[in-house]
Amino acid sequence: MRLKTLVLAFGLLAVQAAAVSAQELYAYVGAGLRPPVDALIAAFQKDTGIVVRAEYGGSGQLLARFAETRKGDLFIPGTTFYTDKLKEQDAVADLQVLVVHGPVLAVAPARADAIRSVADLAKPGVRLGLGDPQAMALGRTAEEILDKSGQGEAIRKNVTVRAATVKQLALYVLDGNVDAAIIGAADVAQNPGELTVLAIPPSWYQAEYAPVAVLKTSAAPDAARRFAVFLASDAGLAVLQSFGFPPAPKP
Amino acid sequence: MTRFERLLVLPLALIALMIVGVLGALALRLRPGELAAAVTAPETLFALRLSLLTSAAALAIALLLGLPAAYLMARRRFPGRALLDTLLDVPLVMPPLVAGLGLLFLFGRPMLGGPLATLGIELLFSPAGVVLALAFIATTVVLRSAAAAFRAVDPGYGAAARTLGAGAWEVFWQIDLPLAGRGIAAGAVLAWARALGEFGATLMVAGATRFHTETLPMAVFLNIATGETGVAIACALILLAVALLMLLAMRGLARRE
Repeated sequence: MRLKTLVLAFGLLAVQAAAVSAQELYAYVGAGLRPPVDALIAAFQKDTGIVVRAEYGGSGQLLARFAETRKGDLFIPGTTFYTDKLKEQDAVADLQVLVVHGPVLAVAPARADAIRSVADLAKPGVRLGLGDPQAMALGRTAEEILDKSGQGEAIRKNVTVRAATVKQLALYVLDGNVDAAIIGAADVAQNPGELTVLAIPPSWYQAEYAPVAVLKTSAAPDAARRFAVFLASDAGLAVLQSFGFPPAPKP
Repeated sequence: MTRFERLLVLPLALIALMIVGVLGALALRLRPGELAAAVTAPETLFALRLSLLTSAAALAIALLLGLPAAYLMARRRFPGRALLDTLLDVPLVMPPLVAGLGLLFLFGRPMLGGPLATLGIELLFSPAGVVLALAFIATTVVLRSAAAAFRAVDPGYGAAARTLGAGAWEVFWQIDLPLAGRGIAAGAVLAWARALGEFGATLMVAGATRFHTETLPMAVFLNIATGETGVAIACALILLAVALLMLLAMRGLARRE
């Protein structure tokens, strides 16, 4: 009798555990988006009880991880470039564009006098940090900006270091280990007052939009869709905005 | 074979199969033609060259600093020695990424980087930065194994030589160092292997700049991120081949006894 009760109790526990794990989502998230997405995941869990486990990294890195594992529910990279690649692999069930992932030229305060425009990046002795063009979203954008600036060759001579994620790059410029870096507007917003920001002419680059994709590999597509809808809701976009990511224009 | 021993075969076989499986999975991923192309790609060759040069330089620094330090630690008792001994082990248990972050802060502009830059010395984001990151880790490996090797040498030999008129310098060069030589060499191989495979500290201190601070592990990382799996695997296989040679060298050293 005691044994039967025990078995029953364990059985119930197992069923419950299965039910809980069914309500768990796995998301690949670009490292630059971490602060707002962390906050959104917490809010979503509070509302729905659904746990979202996020893997943060450079978007290219995440794409390679997904290509290898073919597992996961959501993909939230720094630019639609990577979800386009997922579409080529027929891996996207649903896609919504969320926010503008705009680049800015961030200058370490100590060098703010010497660097007042993109053109100043070509001056001899400037130490510029950029992202690896294939490993991260804003690395690609930065290459485009250099090409359009008309001084690409001179500026590229001043590239001191390439980073694998935008957060690594932000760390370098915040400490003044590079004089300037092309990072996200959001990275500046998250470190208020610590960097001098120079605008980049919008015609010099194609604006990058950070989307959320529900993956066809999702084991819980309904829950995954719910999270995607939550991100794209007014409340979700407001959180993203508060971390420096303005909403993408509605199509 | 006893019944007990037969029981032990299963875990041993499992471990060996797992390692063979991992190596095989990497090697089988590429067709021979692809492998040849990826191995001779300029990026692969650059990474191999940089990895060999920086790890050799790091090993030289590690021996230069590690051997004297190990000798003192092995031969002298002094207050605070146990504490210092524990401190010296910290880099061994530190995640490399954390070591890299600490080195980045220490040698960044706000701390040592500023004064060094006025002297014209740039360590961050350069191959010198790679050497710095590798040496930080390799030195403690050398120190640890060399101290153990020196301790295993009976101080009596040195003492006897001293009574015959040998100086401390001669005792070190002609008695203790040769007697501890095999242990030191094994430690040096281990330190070199660690340096060759190091990634986290290098990423933070030297950055991930292709054809500049791109060591073999960095090339693996960058090319996975790019989807250039061929170059990534080629670099991984080269790394493994070099490491395998080192393990064999270590075997050889151990056998010469």
